[in-house]
Amino acid sequence: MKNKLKGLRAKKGVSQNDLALALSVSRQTINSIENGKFDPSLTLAIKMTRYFELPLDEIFVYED
Amino acid sequence: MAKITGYGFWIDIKSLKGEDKKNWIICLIASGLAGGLAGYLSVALSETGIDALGGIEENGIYIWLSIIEIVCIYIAVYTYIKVLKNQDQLFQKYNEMTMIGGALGFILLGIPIAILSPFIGYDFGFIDLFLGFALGACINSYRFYKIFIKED
Repeated sequence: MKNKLKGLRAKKGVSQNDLALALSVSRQTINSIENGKFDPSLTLAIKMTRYFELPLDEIFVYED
Repeated sequence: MAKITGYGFWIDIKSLKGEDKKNWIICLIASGLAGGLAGYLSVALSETGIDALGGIEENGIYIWLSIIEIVCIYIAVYTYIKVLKNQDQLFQKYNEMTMIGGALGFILLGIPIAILSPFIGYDFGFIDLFLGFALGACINSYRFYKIFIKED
């Protein structure tokens, strides 16, 4: 699944480390998600929507 | 949160905090002790080892060393699970992939050796199944590193 995490994070001016701390995950997890290597769980995806104050489909792009 | 390092074979202890760090260190010490005792006891209690010692009845200490080994294994597993429960989903995935690799190594390497051992004159032992598990776990740990962690 593709995502706009990197851009959103840059727009908000936070580092991978800051985002990891805010979401209680490791920086490796954020990096892996940003690079499209790892899909987050629903819980983590919801945490992201709350953090960025955006709906899910504005962060993640699902393609068939 | 645990940082996976060393090509997927290690965890940066500094990345763990408080109780997790303490439990991880206990886990490492307990598994190291259990491994050392397993190696020592497998030699000491082998057929030739027992002969050299003068029989198992004469060496009551070995039952206690064996019990200590089992206790160390239980402590290592207990503390590992306690650390694992506090980690994020990427680490849980790492654990999952490593264990699946171990199970595959056990089935695809250890069991065929067990089946073929009478035909090739190989003295099969439990250690072969364990080595199959360890090899499979190592392969999948490295695969995990390559797929999810390695930064381009």
